[in-house]
Amino acid sequence: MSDDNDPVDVLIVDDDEAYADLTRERMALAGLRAEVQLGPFGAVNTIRRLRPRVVLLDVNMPAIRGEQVLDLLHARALEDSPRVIFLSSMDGRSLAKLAKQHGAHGWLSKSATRVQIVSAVRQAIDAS
Amino acid sequence: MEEGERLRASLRELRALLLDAPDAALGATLETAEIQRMRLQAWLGGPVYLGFAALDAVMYPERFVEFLAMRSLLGVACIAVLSLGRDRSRLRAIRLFVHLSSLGAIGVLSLMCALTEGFASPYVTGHLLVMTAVVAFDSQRPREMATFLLFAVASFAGLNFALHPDASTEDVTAGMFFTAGGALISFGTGLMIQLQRARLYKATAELAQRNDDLRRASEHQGEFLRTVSHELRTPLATIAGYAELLAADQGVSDASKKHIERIDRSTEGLLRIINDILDLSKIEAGRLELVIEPFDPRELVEEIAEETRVMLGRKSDAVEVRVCVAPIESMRSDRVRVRQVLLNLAHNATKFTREGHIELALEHDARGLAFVVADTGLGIAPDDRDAIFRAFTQTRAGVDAGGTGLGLSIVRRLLQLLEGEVELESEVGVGTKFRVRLPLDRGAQT
Repeated sequence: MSDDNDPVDVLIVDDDEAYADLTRERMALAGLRAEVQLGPFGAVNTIRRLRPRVVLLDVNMPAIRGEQVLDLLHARALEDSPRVIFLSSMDGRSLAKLAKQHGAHGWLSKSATRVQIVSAVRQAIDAS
Repeated sequence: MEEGERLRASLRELRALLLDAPDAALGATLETAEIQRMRLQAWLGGPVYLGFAALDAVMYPERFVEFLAMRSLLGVACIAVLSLGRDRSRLRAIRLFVHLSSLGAIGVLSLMCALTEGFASPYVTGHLLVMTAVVAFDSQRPREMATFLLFAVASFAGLNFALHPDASTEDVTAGMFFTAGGALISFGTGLMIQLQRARLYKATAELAQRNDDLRRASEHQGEFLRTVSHELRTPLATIAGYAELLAADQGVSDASKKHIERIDRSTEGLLRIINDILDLSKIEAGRLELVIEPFDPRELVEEIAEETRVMLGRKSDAVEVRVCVAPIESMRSDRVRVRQVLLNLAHNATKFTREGHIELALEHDARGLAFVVADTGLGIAPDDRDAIFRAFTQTRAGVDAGGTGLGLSIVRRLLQLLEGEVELESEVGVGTKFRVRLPLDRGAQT
């Protein structure tokens, strides 16, 4: 974990460690500072503490699903709410629907390439 | 012996049907239907009783007030049935009320018969017979029906004997004959109706059970699909992602880069197979939802052409991708699924074309709009042309080229959903042309 004062560009919330590490490495290669939160428990607190600009949020996680984490985040109404992008293996159409229903900034398939993921994150940062 | 045993078995089945099936099998739909039937009877009952009141005035003016009181009682019963509502939870109460009022009506009719002409009154006896038949046919169980009929005969005989102890033998015989005979006929006919009804209830309950089982199976299948989707796609995406990171590493040797490229291609192939299986399962389970929206078909063809060039990879030097589009600016369909159809066809074309060209076209003729994917590949023999559209069926060349044989099956199923069709022209050694016909406007999802 980083020092609390360091700015974090991206927080990756995912219960799959291998995929979360891969995403962090992809972000690092693009010059983006990323941190990983393994699983949904404590995700909202980590977001409050690190204040990332973008959250890449997995959907299918045990006990608490990604959309529930996002609902919790909306309920807290943080001052600098990060842009949340759903990142999941679900089929695109269902994921898009879920993102729209829960007010996510966007969505990405886990099979997206590095370029696609980095580009989506950069767009979200620019929009924030 | 065998005949006897068969007869006993039939009787047992009959007994089970008549005594158990109506209660066990009366599902929510049938209960609602039952209430509707009773309410309809109550609606019809009012005018019928009013009509009979007029007849009473002609036949028995001196007893008109008593008759009117009896008719009013039945009218009140009808209103009560209607006001008890449509709620299924009140079915028992409604049924009990109907039964009690039916018994009351039979009793009052017997009394009216006794107060007028006794056993000899054809008017009241006829009424009693009709009422007896109605309650008999209305009953749900043989015991219920027998109770009504015995009550009818007993009240008729009891009241008439009590009030006309000096009645002539002919009158008593005739009155009792009609009442008891009518009750017996009602019993027999009512029993047959109940038997039919019980069979219907049983069949309906079985269908409802089967429907429930199918719904549960479909839910399990959906859950299975979601699990498979997640559990297989995520590790595959991780493998592909790390292969991509390795390939981007400057320090990797050329030989390693080739290995990485193979990992990447194999992963992509696996992902395609998983997606195909999931799509086919979704289509078969009726869970594939269409999103109908307007889009530019020319853009779609250009997109497919781009993807086709990427899919050709190293073969792109030997195979030219040509595009030819008619000026059709817009169509309404599910863009994602139309794209999937065309990509599947283009993917096949890249697999089987070693040299020459792949042509992607958009046509418009008298029959409507058509996308064309044509190649100068191996071609398909006439004997294989039906088989290639069946799931998990491939030609020899298809097996050699790899894959599951699902692509064209998905194409056909998707086109059925999109209200389109696929036409195939092919010559072995010359090439293959798939023409995908689609409506310009698919209309709302059905």
